[in-house]
Amino acid sequence: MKRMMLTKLVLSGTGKNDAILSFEKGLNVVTGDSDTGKTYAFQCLNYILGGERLPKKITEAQGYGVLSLEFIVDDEPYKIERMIGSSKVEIYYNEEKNVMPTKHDATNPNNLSRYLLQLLQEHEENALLKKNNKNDTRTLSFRDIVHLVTVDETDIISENSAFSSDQYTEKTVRKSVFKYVITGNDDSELEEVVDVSEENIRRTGVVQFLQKKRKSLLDKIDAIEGNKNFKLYTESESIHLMINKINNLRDEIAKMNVELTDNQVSIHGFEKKCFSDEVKMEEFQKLNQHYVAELKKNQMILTYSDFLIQLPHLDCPVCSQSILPDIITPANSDELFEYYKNYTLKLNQKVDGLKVAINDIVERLASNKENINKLADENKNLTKIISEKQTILSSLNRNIAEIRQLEAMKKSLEIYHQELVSVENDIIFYNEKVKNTKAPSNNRNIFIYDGYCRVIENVLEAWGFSDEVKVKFDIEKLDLVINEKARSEWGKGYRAFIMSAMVIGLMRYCIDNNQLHPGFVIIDSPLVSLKERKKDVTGKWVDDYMEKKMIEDIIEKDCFNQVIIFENKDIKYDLKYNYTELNHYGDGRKGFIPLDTED
Amino acid sequence: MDETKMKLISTMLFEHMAIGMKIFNSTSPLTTKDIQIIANEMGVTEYSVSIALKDLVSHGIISVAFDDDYQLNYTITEFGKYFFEQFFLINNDAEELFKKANGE
Repeated sequence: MKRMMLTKLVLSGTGKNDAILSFEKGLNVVTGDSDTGKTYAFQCLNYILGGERLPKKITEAQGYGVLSLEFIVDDEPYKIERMIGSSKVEIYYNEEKNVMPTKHDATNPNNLSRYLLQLLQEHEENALLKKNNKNDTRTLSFRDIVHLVTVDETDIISENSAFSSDQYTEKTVRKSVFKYVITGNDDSELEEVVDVSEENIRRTGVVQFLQKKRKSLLDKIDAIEGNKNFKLYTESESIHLMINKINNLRDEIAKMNVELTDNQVSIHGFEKKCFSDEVKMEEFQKLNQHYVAELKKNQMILTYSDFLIQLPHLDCPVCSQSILPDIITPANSDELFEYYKNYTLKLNQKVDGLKVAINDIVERLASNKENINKLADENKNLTKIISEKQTILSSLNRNIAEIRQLEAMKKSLEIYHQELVSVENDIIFYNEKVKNTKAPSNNRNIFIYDGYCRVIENVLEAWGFSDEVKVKFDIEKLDLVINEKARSEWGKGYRAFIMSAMVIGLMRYCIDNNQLHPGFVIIDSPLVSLKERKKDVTGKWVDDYMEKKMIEDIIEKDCFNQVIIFENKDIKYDLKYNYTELNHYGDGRKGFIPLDTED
Repeated sequence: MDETKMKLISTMLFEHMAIGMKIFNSTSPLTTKDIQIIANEMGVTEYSVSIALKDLVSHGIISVAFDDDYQLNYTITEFGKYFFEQFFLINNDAEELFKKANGE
């Protein structure tokens, strides 16, 4: 890994004297009274390193519009130049100028973030950072590193760690960044997973749903098994047999219907014959009556003729002339009687014939009527049997439908049982997975931050915090617990002091372990809130004991790194380091922004 | 003699008997005109009526006489009454027919 060393921050404007801050290797302290531009200079540094937030507008900076930062990497000078308000920077290196956007773009190496990361890492690969609980990732940007090396005057006294973020969506990625900086391992091997707890809740819900469904199905099965139709189903043993039974019933009913129809046709035929015979019989009876009447008439005439033939013919009583018979004469009387005899015989024969015919018709009619009655009875029986079979058929059809439904439900139940087992296994699996992922993670995190904690312990002990310091790292908050007391619980002076130790300790740790770090830290107001005194080894009370020890330690330990401190307090202590004082004096002022020479 | 003539004679004999029965049944003498009206109602031809009346008179079953208007009146004789009574005794059907004709 390579390191940067900032050398010069310049704020320039047309017709304006450049505002310049020079930095050196080791400790750099920029001190001065209030309103001398320290925080403004801090903001300018942050902005030139790709920050989005513009430096605050101050009256003194009117007319200034260009920022530049010179730095050295491997003894090679670089310069970044950025117009205030611009999203692009110009990078000068080796007499070449590259214009590129400040915004990080993982797919395009030509941006400030990728450029600076490549300078430090010496390769073009993007480190992947976990950004949420679903293990979605994004690439590391230089701004992620800036958050670990710069602490402004607000963050340094905050109860929340400057390494973390107030934004919920940034918390995970900040942890991932810190882990990457400490271990050098990114999250590229993380598998995308769904939220286990949510998944478990969901699966538990599914199981409950399935159990309810299972119960419902079992109830339905119980209801069906108790149903009398179900008994019919069990008698039939299987749907196949039942279908055969239904088909047989249908065939039987169809045959019976054909028989019924045939019988009905026969009945109609017999009824027609009966009707015809009845008409004939009526006609024959009328004819018979006619013949009988004719016989009677014939007999009457015969008797009358017989009477008449025996009577003598008298003369006319008026004129006394003889009257000759006109109708029956002795000449025709025999012939007439013979005629009557034959005619009577003929009529009798006709009557006898009619009687035979009528008897035949009567017999036939009776036979046909008997046939009709027989067929009607047969049809009645058939209708009754068909009705019974239809009832059975309907019942079987209903049973079949119910049985099919039941079988479908049984199959569904089997499927649900399988699903239930599967889901229950899934729940067990995911529960194990939660245990397996969380526990080792914590152990590993505790382990990976141990080295960093030891460095902090050394820093704080060297800075006179106490003789023995026990440091634990709070992974969730990215903060420290000092001697079982969280940093947030300490007073703001101590909070700033510990935060400074965290930032500087991180730099030392990364450099010692060859992890990614730019090699400089910038801290605004680490000591202004700290008011303390302690006894030295001789037992004499010493004011600002820790402050002095801190400066001494930084000068000693960070002589090859770069620590830039913006501080109100005078922390010179007659020690040798790059000391810049921004002060008012006379009727003018000497702050970060110089007075115009023309004025 | 062919059958047609026999049937004609038979019909004439039946009409002969019917006219005789009408006169036998009548309580008062019947004129030629009265008999003709009755015969018309029975579908008996004028010819048959004249033949029957002549024959009935010839056999003494009915008698004929002039009335005050010089119309011929026909009346059943005592023999005629006896004749029909005997006839009815022999042939029940004839009596039945007679009663039927009289509306009994």
